[in-house]
Amino acid sequence: MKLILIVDDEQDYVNIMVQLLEPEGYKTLAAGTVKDALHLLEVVTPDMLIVDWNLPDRTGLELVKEVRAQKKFRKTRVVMNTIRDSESDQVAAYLEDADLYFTKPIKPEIFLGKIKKLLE
Amino acid sequence: MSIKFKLALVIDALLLLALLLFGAIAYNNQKALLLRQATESRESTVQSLANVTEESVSAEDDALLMAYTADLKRIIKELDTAYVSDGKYILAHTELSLAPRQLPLSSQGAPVRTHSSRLLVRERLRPEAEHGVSYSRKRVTVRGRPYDAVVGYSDEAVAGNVRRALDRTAVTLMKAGALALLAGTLLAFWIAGRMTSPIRALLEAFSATGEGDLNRSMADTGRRDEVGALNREFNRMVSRLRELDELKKDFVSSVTHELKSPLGAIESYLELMEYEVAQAAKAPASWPARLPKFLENISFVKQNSGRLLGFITSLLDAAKIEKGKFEVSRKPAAIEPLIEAVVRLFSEKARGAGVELKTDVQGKLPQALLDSERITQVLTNLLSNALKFTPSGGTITLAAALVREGSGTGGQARPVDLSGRRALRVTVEDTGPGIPREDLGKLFQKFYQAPGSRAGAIGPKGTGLGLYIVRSIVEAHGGKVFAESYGRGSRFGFELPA
Repeated sequence: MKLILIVDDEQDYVNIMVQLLEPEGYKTLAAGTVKDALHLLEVVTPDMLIVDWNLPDRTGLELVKEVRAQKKFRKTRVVMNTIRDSESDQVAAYLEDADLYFTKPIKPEIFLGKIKKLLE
Repeated sequence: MSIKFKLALVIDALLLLALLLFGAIAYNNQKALLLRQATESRESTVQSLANVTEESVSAEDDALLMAYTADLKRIIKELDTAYVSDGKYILAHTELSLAPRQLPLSSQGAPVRTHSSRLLVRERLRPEAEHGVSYSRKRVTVRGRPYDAVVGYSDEAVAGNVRRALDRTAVTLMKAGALALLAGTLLAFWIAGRMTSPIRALLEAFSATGEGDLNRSMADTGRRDEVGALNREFNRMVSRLRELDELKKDFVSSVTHELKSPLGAIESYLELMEYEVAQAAKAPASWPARLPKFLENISFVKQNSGRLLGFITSLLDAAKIEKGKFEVSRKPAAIEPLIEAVVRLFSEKARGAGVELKTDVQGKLPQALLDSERITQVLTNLLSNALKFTPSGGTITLAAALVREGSGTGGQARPVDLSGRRALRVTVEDTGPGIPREDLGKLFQKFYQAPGSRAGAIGPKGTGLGLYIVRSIVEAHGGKVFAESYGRGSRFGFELPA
């Protein structure tokens, strides 16, 4: 069973993503801050990270950078899922080796479709 | 014209005035000195002539006297006439032909009076002399006989000498003056430049600030004068502008966030529900199992639209406060029911967050003039803030008591109010992370959010308007708000006149 770590401080989005991903057979974990996410990442190596950009303590992009710097996460897929929809933000995320960039609101079919493909 | 130029011009003008004044004084002094010298020279000449007279009469050497007198004219340029007489004879005269001769003289057949030496030498004997002559006279007595030595200097010659000397002085003065003026002008420009350069620097900083660069600051030169004060005031202004700019940015980002995030959540829920319905349409048998989640999602949509509505209401309230159109309708009412209602509203949420919610109402509280709806808004706001910052396992205490107005809030010492007016004090105390002292005073300002506060917060970011509205509501009731923090936890509250 594939493990997905959702890092988002908005409970609504966590809720929606969990409702979409769990019926598809994915196991989910959630963290509301970068600090909490890093704590979780010390004990688990998820197959995928879904990271919001604006987090209370630091930015999601910083988290992506840290994850990409660690060898044990080289197989972990990284997805940004944020309300920030500017091209420059997308470019910045792809430069940090993000695999996907979703802009909120979540479109279930596209969201699930792309994530399934990425995790195949 | 720049201040520098004006200043230099003024300094220059003053310098010129001083130079002219000094020049005039020096010129006049010189003139007086020269005239005195001419008189002294005449006096000394007549004294010498008197001495020689005394000597030659004693030695009965007329030739010595005659030669000396005649020689005087050659030696002294200003000399017009010199002679020696004993009242009957002219013993010696600068005009060799006139001595020795017996007096009275006659000129063209007319007798000349012996007493008038003026007539003797000038008008009768030297009619061509047009200008005045100034005389000095000295009487010496030898062997009982008086002799008069007389010396006359031509006024014109003396004046000519003086004029020439003064002309030389004037030229010297002018040269020195021109040099001083040049040096003065350079100095004036230098001084004016030095005085105005901080003003120019300030001007440049002002214009950069006007263009939107808020990172300018003037170095503190330690000056105690107006320029130093201007620099300090400029720095204060820019730092205040920076604060306002930060507030504006925070506000814009808060507003964007607070509008976008519930709307995004609503849209995402609707997308999810649409997806669920489509899935259920494919497998109708799965619908009963999906229904509870579906209904829960509807409640989340409602929650988000409520949050959106709350935010818009806050914005409208803030706008009303800004326009001075914010009003409360006060009626006599008890505060306990409001406290109970708000606690009931939050009890489930607190339980969910693992936070204990306590009330502490002391005795029977009197009624106060309240706008129940607005005071409920205040209590809701304070309680939801406390809940936002209190971690699981913490406690929130909502307390109400009757106190003497302004009798202190526990921390700060305040003068005891002897008027004995009573107030209802309501406080919400939490066991959250607390608030730095320097931020406490600003919390009730519009859009202000304590730096770093969001990291510890649970739930939506907030707009920075909540406590501003709380303050406005409480102040509209004639009350006041306060916030305290002692390192651990914080206490927010208000007092209403009872």
